Amino acid sequence: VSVAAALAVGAALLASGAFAALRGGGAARQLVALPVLGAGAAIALAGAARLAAGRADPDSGQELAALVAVAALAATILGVAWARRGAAR
Amino acid sequence: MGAYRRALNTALTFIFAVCSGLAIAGSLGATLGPAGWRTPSLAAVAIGAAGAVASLSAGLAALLVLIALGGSALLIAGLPGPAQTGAPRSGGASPQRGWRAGRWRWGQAVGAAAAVLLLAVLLYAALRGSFAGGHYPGGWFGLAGLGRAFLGRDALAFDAVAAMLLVGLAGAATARARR
Repeated sequence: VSVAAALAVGAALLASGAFAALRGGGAARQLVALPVLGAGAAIALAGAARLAAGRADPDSGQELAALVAVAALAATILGVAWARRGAAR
Repeated sequence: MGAYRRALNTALTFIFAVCSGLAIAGSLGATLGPAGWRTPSLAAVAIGAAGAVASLSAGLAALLVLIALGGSALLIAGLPGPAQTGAPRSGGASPQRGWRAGRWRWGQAVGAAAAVLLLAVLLYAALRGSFAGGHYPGGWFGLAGLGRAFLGRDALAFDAVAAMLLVGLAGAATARARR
């Protein structure tokens, strides 16, 4: 695996997530963007850490990948609660 | 030793390719497919992304990605359909509904154009950028390294994301209580 391949997969997922966010069509369809964007960022960060890391700092990419995934979960929790509240009104 | 390393590299490349394909197919299914596809597609995104990250010698990060994205998929699966959340449906008779459907189609076209532009820019940066290849000195799971980073060097960032998760849970609980 090359760093370009990992970044290309991350780019494809990020573009797909951006499309889901911009497309509209209801809260559930737009909230799909959050985990997809998180997945793309996580793959790109982990790939950069594994394949293009300097010896001085090999773990930052993995760390950021995990933090981005947890941040996506937090945003999804809030977004789902907001969407449910809007649907209940 | 050389043959073993070559076989390991081939296996990891195969796993990365399969998991990446699964994640991309899942993201397209969740974005473009009908509402019934959303949950299995997001599960495919979670499994594919975790597998791809695991094949990059980041076992602990892959576990966290699987838990976080799988949890997100389960949460989104419980949302009501487009009829309850106010999404426009095609085939309306009134002029207002027709105007709304036209605006939605415009939004789709602009979103697709923006996504294609983003993909082109990111692919150009990925394929044309002169990234320096480096030998990875860590292990395959990364528990010790990530533990040191989370709880030592970058404890503030770890606390910030934990606080973000706490705010999300508190906001969800508040919204549930008001409903």
